[in-house]
Amino acid sequence: MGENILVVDDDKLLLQTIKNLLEKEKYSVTAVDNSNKALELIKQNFYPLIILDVRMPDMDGMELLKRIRDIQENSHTSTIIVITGYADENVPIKAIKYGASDYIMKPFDITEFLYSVNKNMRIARLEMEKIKYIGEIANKNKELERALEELRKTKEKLEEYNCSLEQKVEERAKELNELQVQLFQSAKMAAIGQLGAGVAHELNNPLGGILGYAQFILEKFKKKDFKEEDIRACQKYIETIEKEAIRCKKIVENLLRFSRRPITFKKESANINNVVEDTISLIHHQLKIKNINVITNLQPNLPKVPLVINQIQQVLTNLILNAQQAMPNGGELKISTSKLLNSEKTPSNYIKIEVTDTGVGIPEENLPKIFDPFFTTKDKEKGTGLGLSIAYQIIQEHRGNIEVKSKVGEGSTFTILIPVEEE
Amino acid sequence: MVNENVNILIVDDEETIRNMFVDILQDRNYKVDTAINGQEAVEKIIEKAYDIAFLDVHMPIINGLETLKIIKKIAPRIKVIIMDSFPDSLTQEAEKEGALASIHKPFEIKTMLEIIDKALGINKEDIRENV
Ligand SMILES: Nc1ncnc2c1ncn2[C@@H]1O[C@H](COP(=O)(O)OP(=O)(O)OP(=O)(O)O)[C@@H](O)[C@H]1O
Ligand SMILES: [Mg+2]
Repeated sequence: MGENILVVDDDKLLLQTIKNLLEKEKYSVTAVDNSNKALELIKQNFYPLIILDVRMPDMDGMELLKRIRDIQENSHTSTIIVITGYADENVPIKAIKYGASDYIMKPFDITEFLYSVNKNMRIARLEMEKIKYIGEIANKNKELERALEELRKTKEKLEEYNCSLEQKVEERAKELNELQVQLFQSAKMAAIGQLGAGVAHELNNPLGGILGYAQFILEKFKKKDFKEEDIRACQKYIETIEKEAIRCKKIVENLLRFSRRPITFKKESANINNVVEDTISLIHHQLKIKNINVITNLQPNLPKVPLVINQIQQVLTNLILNAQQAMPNGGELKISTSKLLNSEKTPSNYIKIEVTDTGVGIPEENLPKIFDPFFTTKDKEKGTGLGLSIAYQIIQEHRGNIEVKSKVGEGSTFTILIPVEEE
Repeated sequence: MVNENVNILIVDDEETIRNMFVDILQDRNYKVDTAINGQEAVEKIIEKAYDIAFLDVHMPIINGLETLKIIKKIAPRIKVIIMDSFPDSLTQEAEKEGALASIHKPFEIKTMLEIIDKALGINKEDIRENV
């Protein structure tokens, strides 16, 4: 069956005739003979096409048109054809003004009538399509809004999550940082433990001289025949005392600087050669008694670099102690500094520090592991395996690089690069 | 025995320590020689008869303990005093190996002289026994 057409006419004969006509054209037809019934039906059903007589006893056709429009508003508008018997030309104009799309004058010819119905049905269909589309668009719109809403909620959640994530990351970073500080500290303490005996020798030798000479001078003062030459001798002894006391002071200062727990890892512009020399002075004696010949080759007038001095000292101490442990029967430890000018490979200027030993060397299979935390080939008492991993981190924090070259039986070279300028 | 006849060898790689011994002991008329390591010490001991040797334990090339063992072989009569910064396994082993005593740096002149007297005292007894 075709589309539903509502026909409204008080002329029952005409109503029946129209109904038959349209049904023959395969439309399904609802026919009513009064305006009120028509309005009832329109309220309940949608008719794409309505054909109505303008002159009916219960209600003026124009009034009916208006009410239909009121019921249907804009969303669901039926296409309306009015049938008019008036000779008055104003009626069709008025009807169209009230929302009718076409009019048919009575008496009408069937062909003309059907032509109008079909034409208006096409319009009605288009209208229906339009309505369908509008509905679909409205639905789509709703879906879209829903999707947008979802999106907004997701975004909110994401932001929330992000926020807590950031917080978590921050918390973790803080924890890690604390852990790292502890780790640095414990590795440093271990290094100091290893240094301990060496430092005692380092201090007790000059102290031995100081104590001996101080008592010797006192003895001389107590002698009755204090001679000119005694004064000269005493002056020499006092000079020795001064020299050795200064040496003690330096050792203690170094040790303090090294063992002090840094509150902030603050960088200061420093001369790397001084850092190297201070570090060696702490370990020199220990190296000497282990038959390790220390050769330094420090290039003068190097540019200053931003350093956390006691961290770099820690790195150097670890490298030197590693070298010492790699040369149990003695050997040669070479420490050199130089400047590396920028090239394609290295975008900025670098300070280069090289620590070379003639020790046992590192087997190839261990090379990728030596910077890992807790990797050690030493006894529990000797090594924690933290030295190089911490050295690596410290150098990273200086935007630098640490590398190793080694050959078993020949020795190892550790190379540190630290950029001269900090961006 | 008068101090002039007492030959003392100081073996230490620290210049200040060597000088200090020389200044203090020469002032008391002891005959003092020095060596900067175990190897030099052994060479000197071969050339000259020393009564007393002060040996630092921690020295390059041949450490104090190794030097002590050699001295005990080539000149067992020398009284050897081991010097160290604190008592550690090397000092203990040195005493087992026949060192007379050990002293810890920094030490007082009094300690230095007492230990020399002790070494000489034992030395005198030895001489009497041998007669
Ligand atoms: N100069 C070197 N020569 C030979 N092997 C080395 C040298 N430096 C490091 N290594 C090897 O790398 C390992 C890791 O070194 P690292 O300094 O990280 O730890 P460690 O020295 O074993 O212990 P710690 O430094 O905590 O006392 C060492 O155990 C050793 O096997
Ligand atoms: Mg190490």
